[in-house]
Amino acid sequence: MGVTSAMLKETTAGEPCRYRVLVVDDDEGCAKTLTWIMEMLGHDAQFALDGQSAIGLARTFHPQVVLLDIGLPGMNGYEICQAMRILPALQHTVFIAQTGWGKKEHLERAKNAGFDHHLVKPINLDALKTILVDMGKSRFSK
Amino acid sequence: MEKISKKLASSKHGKEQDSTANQGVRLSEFIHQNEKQIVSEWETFARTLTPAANDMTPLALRNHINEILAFIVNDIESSQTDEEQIQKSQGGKEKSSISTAAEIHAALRLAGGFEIDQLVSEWRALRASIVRLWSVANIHMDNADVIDLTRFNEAIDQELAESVCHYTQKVSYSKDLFIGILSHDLRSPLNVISLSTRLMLDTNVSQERQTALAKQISESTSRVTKIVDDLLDITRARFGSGLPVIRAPMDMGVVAEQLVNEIRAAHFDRTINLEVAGELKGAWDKARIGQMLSNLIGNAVQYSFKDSPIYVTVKGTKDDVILSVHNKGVPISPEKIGTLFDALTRASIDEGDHPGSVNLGLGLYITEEIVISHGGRIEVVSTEKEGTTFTVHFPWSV
Repeated sequence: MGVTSAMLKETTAGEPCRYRVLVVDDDEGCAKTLTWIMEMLGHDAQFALDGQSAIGLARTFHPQVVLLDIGLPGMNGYEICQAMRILPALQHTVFIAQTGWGKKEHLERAKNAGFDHHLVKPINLDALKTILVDMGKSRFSK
Repeated sequence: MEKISKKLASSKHGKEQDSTANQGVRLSEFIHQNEKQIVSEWETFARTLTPAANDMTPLALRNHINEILAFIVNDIESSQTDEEQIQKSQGGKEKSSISTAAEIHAALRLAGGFEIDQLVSEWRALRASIVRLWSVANIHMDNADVIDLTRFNEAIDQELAESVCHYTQKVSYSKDLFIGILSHDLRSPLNVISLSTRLMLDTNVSQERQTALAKQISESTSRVTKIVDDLLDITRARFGSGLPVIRAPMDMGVVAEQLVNEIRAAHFDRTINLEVAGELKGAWDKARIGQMLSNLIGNAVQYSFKDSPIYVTVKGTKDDVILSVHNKGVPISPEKIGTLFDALTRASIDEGDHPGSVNLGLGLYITEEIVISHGGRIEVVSTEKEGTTFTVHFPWSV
């Protein structure tokens, strides 16, 4: 996906990047709240409640950041991540797992499935912000 | 006692035997020859350890006792150096692969709901039963017999130690797992509360969203409260005297309608069909029946396909009142269905599968307790094609 001109402009002006963020969570409350949080942080966010609709939405929305819950009915977060990773439009997308599990083996499994980051609920907003800011920095330095 | 064989010892111990001129039977040989009676006595004892033993099939009981006896016989017969004997008596002997029968036995007992003191008493019964039978058949003990008896006691102790060790390991694993799932399930509503609160502090949030956020916080708080309430119920059911049930005249159909209406109000986007038929007036605990229905319908809402309807039926028949809750959704895997109602001994939780949820586990555990305390029974059928149906039977006469 790379960097859009709008993003570059904002970054050079010292403002945080504006990303297209896709939130996936089967808990509608969780999904909505996180979407609104993303909007509050100045991003363009949408949400999906299951794997199939998330992948469908990703094809048109081309998210630059995907915040995925892991324990979902049907396709789980690991599978969704793997399926999205092969979409051409999502080659540079950053995948963040957000789950209630924080053990070593869960982190390992998320990494193997192709996640870039792993956040444990309740999500620490500062940690999430740091990931997004760092994304902007690394993109910009490229 | 006449049935007990009194053959002379086998050639294996022949020399020692001859030199002490023992007219009785060697212990290992005795166990071997009288296995049937030993197993049968032991089985009778195990059955007194109710209610858990009710679930045990004779075959499940028998398979492992045979292996355990084989281990003991082998242990008595095999030569043992003095050093080994000291080590073993101090619990230092290396684990033998054969002795896993004791571990399997422990795992089965845990799954069957045996408490650790019941597990230990089984071993005591086995020891006592063998020694008693043997001493009747072998009145004059000699040196070789004393050595045999010592080895026998050591073998039993070793098996007992392994059994207890395995049992406690499994219990501790289950507890860890349980606490893991519990914290996982608390994290989701806490996440919503934490994020929503943060959003509400943002001055740019519209009035409409403020209202939605406040509602979410309130719902999530209820979820956390429910988990804590369930935990208290579980503690009472498991470690106390069971769930308290106060029976009073009520109409199962009316309670079902109230509950369904409540859930409809909370999930107005879902279709919940209610069918009520037959005689439904009886004496049950209204609050507990409501809790049970709320758990079952709540699960159906949570684990069904969002666009599929949920069917609740309440039917009074000649013998019982039958309640069923049906939904379409990802089926519960066959491995999980066996321990679905027991939140504390569920074997493994894989987040990748059907969402492993303590909500589901605690709720169903309590649901089953409510059903049992009313003298009823609960069943679940779950397939890809038919969906999931929980059926509860409350007999008129308990």
